Amino acid sequence: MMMDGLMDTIKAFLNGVGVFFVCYLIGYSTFLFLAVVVGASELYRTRQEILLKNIQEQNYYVPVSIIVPAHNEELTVAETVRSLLALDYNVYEIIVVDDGSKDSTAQTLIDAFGMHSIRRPIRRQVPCQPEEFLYIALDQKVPITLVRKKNGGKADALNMGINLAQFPYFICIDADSVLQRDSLREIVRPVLEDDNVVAVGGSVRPCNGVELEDGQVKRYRLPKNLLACMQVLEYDRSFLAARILFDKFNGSLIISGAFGLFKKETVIACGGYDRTTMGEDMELVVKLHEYCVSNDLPYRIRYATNAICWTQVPERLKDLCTQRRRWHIGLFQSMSRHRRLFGNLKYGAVSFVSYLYFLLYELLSPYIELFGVLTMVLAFCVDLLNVPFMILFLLIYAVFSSVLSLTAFFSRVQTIDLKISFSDGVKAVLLCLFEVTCLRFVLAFIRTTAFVGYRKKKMNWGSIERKKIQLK
Amino acid sequence: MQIETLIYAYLAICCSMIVFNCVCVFVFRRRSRVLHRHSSHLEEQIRSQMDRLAAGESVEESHQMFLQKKLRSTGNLLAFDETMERLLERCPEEAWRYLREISSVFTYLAMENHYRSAMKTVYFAYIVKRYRIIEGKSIHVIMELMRKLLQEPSLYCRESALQAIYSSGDCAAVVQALQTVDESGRFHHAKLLTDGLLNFRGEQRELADALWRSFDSFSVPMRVVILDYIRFSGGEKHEELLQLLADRRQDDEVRFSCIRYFGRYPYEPAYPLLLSFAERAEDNRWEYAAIAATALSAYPGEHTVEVLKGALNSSNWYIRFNAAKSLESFHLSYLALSDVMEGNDRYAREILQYRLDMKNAREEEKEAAPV
Repeated sequence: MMMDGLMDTIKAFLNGVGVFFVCYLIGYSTFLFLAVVVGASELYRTRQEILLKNIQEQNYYVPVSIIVPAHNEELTVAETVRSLLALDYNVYEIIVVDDGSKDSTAQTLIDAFGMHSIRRPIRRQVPCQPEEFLYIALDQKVPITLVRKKNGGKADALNMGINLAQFPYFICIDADSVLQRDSLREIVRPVLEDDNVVAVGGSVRPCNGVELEDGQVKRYRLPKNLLACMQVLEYDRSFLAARILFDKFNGSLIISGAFGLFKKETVIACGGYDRTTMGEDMELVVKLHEYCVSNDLPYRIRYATNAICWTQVPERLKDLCTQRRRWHIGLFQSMSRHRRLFGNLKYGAVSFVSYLYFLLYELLSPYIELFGVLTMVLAFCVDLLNVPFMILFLLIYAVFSSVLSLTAFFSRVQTIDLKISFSDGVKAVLLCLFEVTCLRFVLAFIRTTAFVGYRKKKMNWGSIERKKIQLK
Repeated sequence: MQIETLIYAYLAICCSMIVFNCVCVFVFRRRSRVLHRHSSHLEEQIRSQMDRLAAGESVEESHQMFLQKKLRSTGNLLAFDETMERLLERCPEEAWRYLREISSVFTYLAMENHYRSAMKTVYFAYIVKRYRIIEGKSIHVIMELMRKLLQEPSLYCRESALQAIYSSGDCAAVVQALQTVDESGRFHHAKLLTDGLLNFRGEQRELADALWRSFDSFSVPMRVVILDYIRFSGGEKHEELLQLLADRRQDDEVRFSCIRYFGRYPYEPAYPLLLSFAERAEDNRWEYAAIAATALSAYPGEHTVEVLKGALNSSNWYIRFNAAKSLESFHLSYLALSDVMEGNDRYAREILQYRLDMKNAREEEKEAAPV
């Protein structure tokens, strides 16, 4: 009698869980599907616009300050600045902020560009650690400023850059990234189109395996390293497509720290980068939404598909873990700090689509997936698991995700005229299945355990193995 | 089974997208080959017409008819573009002459307006501008088509149409186009407008006069565009702009633009006003003092130096910064600046020191540069 009661309870529980997962997966599949379809269509439309000269070159530009926060980047920093000097743009400045590096990041730059020491008063509009010294180089294509400050984290370094920036818009990039030659023109385009634009996200692409010459792709290959290769597919499906979709309704909640443009005045008005969070890039964008909506300011946060930044993705699992843990903790911090966005009519689609998506399918997804696995174990134990159906279902789901990855990947490759070899095409087809069946679960595990040791490491830059980017 | 059905449906659509991708690869490659083939074919025909022109004959009627028929399609227009780019590089004079001779083809195309979508019409506008089809002449039909494009919501549609109109060199058409853009109420970046006006193919001074005559009919942002254009295109409106600057009823942005004008073109009667702006911010707007501090760099003299030194004590960063920059441009000795450098105002001292350091760094770099 008691056993029957228990079985009924378990059945009812499993039914409830079943309904929940059906809704959850319909939601996720629909989102992914819409993202890829909208993303691919947008990429084709842009290609057509370029072909028919609907997007034209302009000779006058919006002046921008490029801020490069650097911490122990002696290996890559000079090359990064050189690539910035080669950009096809007229009015900009480069500000490198050495955030108390333990290596010779600052000295490398001083030697490479023959910089001069200068006493410059800093207008502190957003909080940051005090500076130790400042250097400038004026004989380059554009002025380069180097400031060395006490260590305070990436957000603190970016705030120092904002305080030093001369121009009304600033761009933040990572010291290990390379901007494509025309990327500044492309990222500024939305500002020319709409006065209410307060931020523009660039398109961040893995550069592993890519050969760059004068800021242009000379040869595009998928990376030899399988982990990096799978991330290329993941970037196209999850980041490129999803961000194009969010852009359609002004719902972007993330602008990658590797490449984003911001209106300085608005960023200063909302207090600059938050120095107490690990995901300062997401935190700033969510804060901008909150600030503009609360103050009834018309605003747009855009995504520039053609503004391309090449960045190194981790090639070692250990580095990938470090990176994804940081991302997940940053996501948690931003979502919990701005929880008033949740279910708030005032924020419209930002609340009911973007925030909800990030909450359910990014922040909570590893725990929901873990719960799903545990439920399957329970169902198996009580002999209520339909194993053939489960396998069929997982297979359909894996194939579906793979097809989406491939659609996003090939759409991107074609629309920007990248030539890939036949073997790379085959590699992409084979690896996409592996990515959705293996890497996805590895990443889920990393995210589930992200908070282990969180208190101890929460303000750390986190070190990832750097390699010199192949520049010619 | 409903969720499976849904996923199957998604899967089917995604597979069709992959098929679409493959078809696209094929179409793009084929299109590229066809484009080159058409372009080579066109080149032969155009070359023979260019030879006729060189021999003192005119372009054949049949060739013009051929173009009227062919260029209706965007694909052929792309081939024409590619061909002309090539010919302009190899034999520019002959190519420009040929383009002048066939301008009636474009009038016909504009009249028929076969380009159904705005995207294709924008391409037509680009061709009109790129190949100077209406340069020096205002062809009514083409201008009408361009004016229609000015109503489009896309910035690039409007910008292409404006570029084509600028290339006509027709002042009245440009004024009318700016009025259309202004009345539409759509955002059109001031930098694009000023930049575009500077590309005007006619007499810049005539355009400045025409714009000035209609100045009052424009909104404030468009007035600022016009003033910026006057500033960059050569000035010559000193008295008129001084009146605007002195008129307190004018919008602040308009007056800021006038201050910048007098910073570029020193005009003695404007000097007292600039000094007074630098000394005290007008109507609590610090921008007056900040912009005037920059403009005063064009008026060297003892009184200017005194006023700028006073501005160094301002609580506003921009006023201090601009005043220091102007003082730096006067190449004064340390002695002349000693009252600031040894004074009690740390902020004034620091900002001036910074500008002097910058000057030294520039000089050092100049000396170190290889001759």
